[in-house]
Amino acid sequence: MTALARVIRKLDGAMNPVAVRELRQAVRSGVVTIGFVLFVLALLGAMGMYLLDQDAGGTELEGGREIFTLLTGILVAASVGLLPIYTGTRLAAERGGVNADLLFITTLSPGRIVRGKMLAAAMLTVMVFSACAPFVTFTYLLRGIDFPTIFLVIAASFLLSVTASQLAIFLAALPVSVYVRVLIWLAFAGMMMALLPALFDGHSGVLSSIIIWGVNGWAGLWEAWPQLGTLLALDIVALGLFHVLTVALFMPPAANRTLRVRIYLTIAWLVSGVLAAAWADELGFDEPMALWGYGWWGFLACCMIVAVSERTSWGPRITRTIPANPLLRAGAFVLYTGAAGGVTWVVIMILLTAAALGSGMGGMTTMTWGPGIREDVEILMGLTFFAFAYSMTAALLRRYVLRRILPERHTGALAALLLCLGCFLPLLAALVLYSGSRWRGGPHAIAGRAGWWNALNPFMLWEHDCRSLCTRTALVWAAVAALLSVPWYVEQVVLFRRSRPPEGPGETPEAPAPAAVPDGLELVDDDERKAE
Amino acid sequence: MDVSVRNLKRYFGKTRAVDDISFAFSAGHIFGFVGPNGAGKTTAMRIIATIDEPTAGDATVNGVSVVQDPEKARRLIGFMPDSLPTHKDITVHEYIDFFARAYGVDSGRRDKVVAGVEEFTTLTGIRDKTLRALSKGMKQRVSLARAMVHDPAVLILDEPAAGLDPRARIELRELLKILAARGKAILVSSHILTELAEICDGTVIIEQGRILRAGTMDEILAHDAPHRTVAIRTLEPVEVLHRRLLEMPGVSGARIAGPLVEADIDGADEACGRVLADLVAAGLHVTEFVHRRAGLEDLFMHVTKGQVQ
Repeated sequence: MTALARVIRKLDGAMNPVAVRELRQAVRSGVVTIGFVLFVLALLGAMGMYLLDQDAGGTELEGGREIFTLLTGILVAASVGLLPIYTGTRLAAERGGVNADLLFITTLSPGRIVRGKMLAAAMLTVMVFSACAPFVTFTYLLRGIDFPTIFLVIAASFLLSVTASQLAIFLAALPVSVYVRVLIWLAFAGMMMALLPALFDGHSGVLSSIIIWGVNGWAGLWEAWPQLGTLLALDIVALGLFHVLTVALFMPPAANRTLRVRIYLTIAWLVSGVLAAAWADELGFDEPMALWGYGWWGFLACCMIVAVSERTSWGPRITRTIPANPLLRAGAFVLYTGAAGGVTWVVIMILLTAAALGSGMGGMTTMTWGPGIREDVEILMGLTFFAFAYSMTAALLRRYVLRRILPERHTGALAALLLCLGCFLPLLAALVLYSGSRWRGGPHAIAGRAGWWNALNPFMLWEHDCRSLCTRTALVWAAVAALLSVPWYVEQVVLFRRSRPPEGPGETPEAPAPAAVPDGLELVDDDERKAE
Repeated sequence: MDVSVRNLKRYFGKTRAVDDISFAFSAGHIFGFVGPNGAGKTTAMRIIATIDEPTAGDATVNGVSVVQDPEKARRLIGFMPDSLPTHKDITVHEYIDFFARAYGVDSGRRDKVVAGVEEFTTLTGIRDKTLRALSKGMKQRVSLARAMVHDPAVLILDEPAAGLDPRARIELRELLKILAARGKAILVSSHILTELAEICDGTVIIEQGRILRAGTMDEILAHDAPHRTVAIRTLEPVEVLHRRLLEMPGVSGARIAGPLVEADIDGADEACGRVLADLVAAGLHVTEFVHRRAGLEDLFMHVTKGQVQ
């Protein structure tokens, strides 16, 4: 065997099996072939029509730029919209049947499975971008576009496409019914369609502004790098988050699903916080810190609803990994999968975010958001109280009333239902009671006033008149819910113990004598077969 | 290589899908796992195959716990579920190659391993066909090939013969015999009890999540057979023999079956001996006296009640 053959064999052995299979399937897929041909035809058609139009209209000095914008639009639509939908629907179909079981019984880790899917999607994206390359090169021969601009736009589009594919893989991995899945895909397609104008809307679109200004001109704009840096950071954080969430969904229910998610979020929170603080220090005003803090605070408040849906007891696969040391066990309780631990993690992270905001923004000059910071913090605190109150109420309801009919994993859905009821039922009651008698402004006036009917509505925190009432209600409710949840919490703390290894082998029936080789059948030795 | 299931329990709310079952089997054996629909067979098999987790109890494969160390146990187990592969746009060879890669079969010998498994399961001729183009029998073979590709010591086969035509069933049966002879420990569930009885060394009968009987076929049949059935031939006409048998004490029934008479004798071997002696003493010329074992089907109907939870 030559050295080259050995290298190729090693590379072949190191390749992700899922990626290999996905690409083999893609090569045979009629959908991919037809889609690819249509994509090339669309590029060819768009370019041809533009050039024909140019001949009729006379000379055009910005032809390269305009046609590049057009081609990039088609490329992004295909790679951010169609390719992820193909990847996602394929995975969703695979997750629906026995095939998912087959993945779990191999020695492939969930992370490797997801990375394989991701790698295959990325390679398909590379294939689509490669098909576009000759056309893009041609635009360079026309006027109005330079190579650095082409490179930057293509690189940004590629990153966007990879993130969209990861999002699609995450959505496909969600354990929902076919009908909900169809709705999810429609929402995904709508979201991607809405993204296109944000990218290509004249001077305001992120990519179109780079194309119009050119990299050199665009880099001179003061908002260019902050804008790109923020988008890049958001993209990378989202990519990582969707990845760890998908891996968690791929894990068997008995596994420690949230450990990686919480570790990832904690690290992402810390790194993004340090970067935001450094950037705020560099700029000398607090917007980056505020953006970081508000974003994480709001996100963490939403995590509370997810956390209460987690398990309240642990199987042997998890308990055997719980540290025996009390301190380490406390840390594991917060990071491991589990409802009480999840709520604790969210509360700790919110407190840390608030502390970081307080200390990070204290000595800085504020620009546009300065006067509103106090209000923003009030809103965020109110949101946190509401998230806690609704989540814990749902957990208590499930524990004491709906235990037999509602599985633990649906506690978050119950919290969402309670939120809807809390927002609309009191308002409906008020409309019935007061309509036409107390206020002349009609339903709209009632809905916007600070009254008991809005006390449970977290969305009214943004209304100045209602904020105080809503915050106080949420605080009292959260305190009561916390008090009532003490037994729920303590029970889980007590249960969170390292399991003892099983004792010696138990009594089991004796195994029968070995089977004889059937008559007339040739027995081939295993070693012989391997040696062949 | 021993597989030991100890006090395995799996509850879904109030439903006890598997309720404290224990049994064991070892290398070179085929163990049947039978029970009515909903008895808990698939749940128990999924737990042994590390896909599901028990509420309590454990199963060990050569001492490796499927609960404590599922990753290690997976290397020792080949699982064939009761559903068939449904992947699109992939050939038989690519499918098996994928699982060889997934199980970490060394790239240097992967091609040979895959080719060997294809040959063993007679898939070589259709290795380039896509999965969707295959018949159910062929898909079953692909499933078996997939379960064997990493050369596991234990095979867990859930309804491998379901929906197969007689020829495919016979071929599958022969494959299982060869695998057992090669030293694999095989646990196989099936509704086709006559076939299980032919190939199994031992059987576990399960209903409503609980084991009703477990042990070697001989042990179970000897313990549970409601009566002994013997086929008797004499030089005298069958009507004479039939009438004589019905008059004898200890014979609960007799029927003419061609040139023979089948008699149901209450009791064990001693009772059979007494009947034979009585026939000879009565002057009948007995030329054949064959003990017919009760089948697994009889036993299954005898011990199960067809109840589901």
